[in-house]
Amino acid sequence: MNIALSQLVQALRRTLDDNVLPELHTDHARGQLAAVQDILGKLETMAVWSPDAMAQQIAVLLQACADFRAAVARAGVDLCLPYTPLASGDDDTMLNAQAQLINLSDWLFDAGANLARPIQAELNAILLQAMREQLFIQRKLIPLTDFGAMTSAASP
Amino acid sequence: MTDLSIPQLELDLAPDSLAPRLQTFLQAQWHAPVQLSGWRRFPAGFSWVTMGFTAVVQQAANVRSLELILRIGDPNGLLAPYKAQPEYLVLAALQSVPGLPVPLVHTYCDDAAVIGAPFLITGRVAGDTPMPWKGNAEQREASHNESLSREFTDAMASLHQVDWRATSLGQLWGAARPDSVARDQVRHWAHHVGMVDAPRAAVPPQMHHAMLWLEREAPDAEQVTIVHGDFRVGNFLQQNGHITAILDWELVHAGDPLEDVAWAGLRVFAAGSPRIGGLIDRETFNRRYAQRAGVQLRPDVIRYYEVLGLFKSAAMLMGATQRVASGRARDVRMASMGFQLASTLLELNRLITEAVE
Repeated sequence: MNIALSQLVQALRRTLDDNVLPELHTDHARGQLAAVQDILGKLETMAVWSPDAMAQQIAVLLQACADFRAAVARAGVDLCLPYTPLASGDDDTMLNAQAQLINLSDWLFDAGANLARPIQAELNAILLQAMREQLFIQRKLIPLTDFGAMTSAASP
Repeated sequence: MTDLSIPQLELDLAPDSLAPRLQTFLQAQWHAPVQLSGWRRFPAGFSWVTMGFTAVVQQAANVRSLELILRIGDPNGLLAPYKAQPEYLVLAALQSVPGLPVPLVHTYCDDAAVIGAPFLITGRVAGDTPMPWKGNAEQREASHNESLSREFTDAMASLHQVDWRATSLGQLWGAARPDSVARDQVRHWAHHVGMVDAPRAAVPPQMHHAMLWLEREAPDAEQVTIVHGDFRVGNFLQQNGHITAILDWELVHAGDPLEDVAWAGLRVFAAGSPRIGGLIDRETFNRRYAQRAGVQLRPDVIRYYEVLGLFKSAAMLMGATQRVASGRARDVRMASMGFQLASTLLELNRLITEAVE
């Protein structure tokens, strides 16, 4: 999910052309591959990652940033937290939300290292919880991969 | 600015193109006529390209037939750019270490002008590769699993006892220090995916957080040994319950031996089993390894290296995605690897959360 779907489809088509087509030995197989290429070419401009999942991730990350700032304020700490203004568009908003969380991580491991241990732990827990939720949302979309099938020879 | 560099030779894996180039190289190395045949590419592994072939070498009246393995560091491969020299030097240094079977190493070349990429040639070793996720452990005889577990443990212990400073590796890794080997690895893998220079938002926040945590928590090593870097079930060959070779030395470096211990024991290599690599009883391994290697198993340091291991895995997965996105990937399996990133980072998150609790 760190790659645009159109780029992924392009990579699939390139592999089929460069690595699979030269090793096909029947007209039938070549015809089947041409059809697959045709469909992939059409999908290339249509496919996008789930907008719902994207919106959920953005919400989780931005909520964590707000909770983090509130916890720092509650602790009465007068430290200048980094702030990244929001951008428009889902992709940009996602990148922006990630950048905010990264900036807060930097702050916690740098200036935040001088805070009392309990508040440090609380802030770190907010970050870890948000990242965990973001990753759960991503993983829900991904079926298991059979790497065994990709690395086994037909006849050893 | 005009690029005046000499264009690199394109890597072509077709035997018709590869064989004559390699033949010329081997004839110069071995000072004898050489005929190459029987080319076969193996699908195993995601990094170096592995090909098997036969070399017939004619020296005076003697004709020898050698079954060989050619490992090629594809410039577009998962961990590119590659160098074959470290793996060659390590294998050469380990050719006769008791309890540590490795392939016979013949030659290497880091000059891309020869075949278009660095390469290493070793002897072919008989055996198959037990994989945790294929459930092979349950299909083998119990006695075979026991002997494999014992030999796996002993091989790692033997590796970590090698006096590498007394070999040619002393020159290669002389700068390795106990207080920097952990951070060296963190920086190596952060650099691999451009985390230091890349636009920060393009990096998963969990990856960035892990890098900060690893930098802060880096332990001093009690000793600096040869670290295989990918020592696990899946990276050795076995025949009739005995390990015939420890493979895949491309990530070898000088470091803390507990890095190998932690890596081998990662849950991601156990296919849901509590055993190491789905094969080896953890307590038995710990007892036997510590006794044989003379290494103290420090739980907090092992936990640190488990986090580092997942950071390294995630860096490889990110690198795979970056190569697909940039159009440099020759192997579409890299795209599949990229889909594992969320699972790997979740496991990383779990380990860091447990470590700070």
